[in-house]
Amino acid sequence: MKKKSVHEPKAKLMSAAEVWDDAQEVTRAFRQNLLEAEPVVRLNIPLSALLSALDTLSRDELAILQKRVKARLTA
Amino acid sequence: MAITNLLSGAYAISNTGPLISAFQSDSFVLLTKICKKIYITTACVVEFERHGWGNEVEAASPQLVVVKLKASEEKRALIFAKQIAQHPDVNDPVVENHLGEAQAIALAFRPEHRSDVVLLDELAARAIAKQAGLRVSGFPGVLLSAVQNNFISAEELKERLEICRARGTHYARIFIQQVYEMAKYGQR
Repeated sequence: MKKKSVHEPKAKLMSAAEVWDDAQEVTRAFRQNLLEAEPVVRLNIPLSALLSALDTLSRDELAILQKRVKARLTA
Repeated sequence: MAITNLLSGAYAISNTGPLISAFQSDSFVLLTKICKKIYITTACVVEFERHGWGNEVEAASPQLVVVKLKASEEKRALIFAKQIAQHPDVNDPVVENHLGEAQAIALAFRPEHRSDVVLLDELAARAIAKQAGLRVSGFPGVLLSAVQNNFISAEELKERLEICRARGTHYARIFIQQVYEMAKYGQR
């Protein structure tokens, strides 16, 4: 098997501070692409239906929702 | 649609370095959770083969797509390669050695790729790409986004960066610790 190596091992790389900006850029770009790719619909549903839908979400999905709610409350 | 799939509509263009990091740390599947498709150019394919990653590139199809630039795009890439080679943050002044990142930058100018993120770890190429108005991220930035969107934990991010370091990618220990802390505490 051919030995694996890295590309330009001595090149100067980004700083940790830039990594934070990178992550925001990645998330922003991906959400924007999704909005451009998918039609957007507005749903008028009773609040109780929304609340009962929460019971079907997984722990990971609830964590995402929690972040979103927290951001809205502090906005 | 599950909330965890909210980010599945993205596209990226990658240079050689970030993708080698993804292969080293077994993160390509994670990458495809965030990026529906990842494009690389023929100059990068040559570099992957030279560094022993040809089989991984082949196995990554169809999410990984190889693109051949048109003659006019190759000319533009050569201009970017010269700019990178002359950048103060570059140790290697040989223009041809920067064709991979330069071709990735040139590909991002196609109308269908204008909203894509260009994956670049090297300081000089990132500066040139940003100057050209492109969206840029390194491999650690994609991992941090994956943490922020609950695909992996902060500990998993750290582990993946440490694997890259152990296998030769130049992520300093202090750098990994700083990125880990940002991931863990959710702030810069």
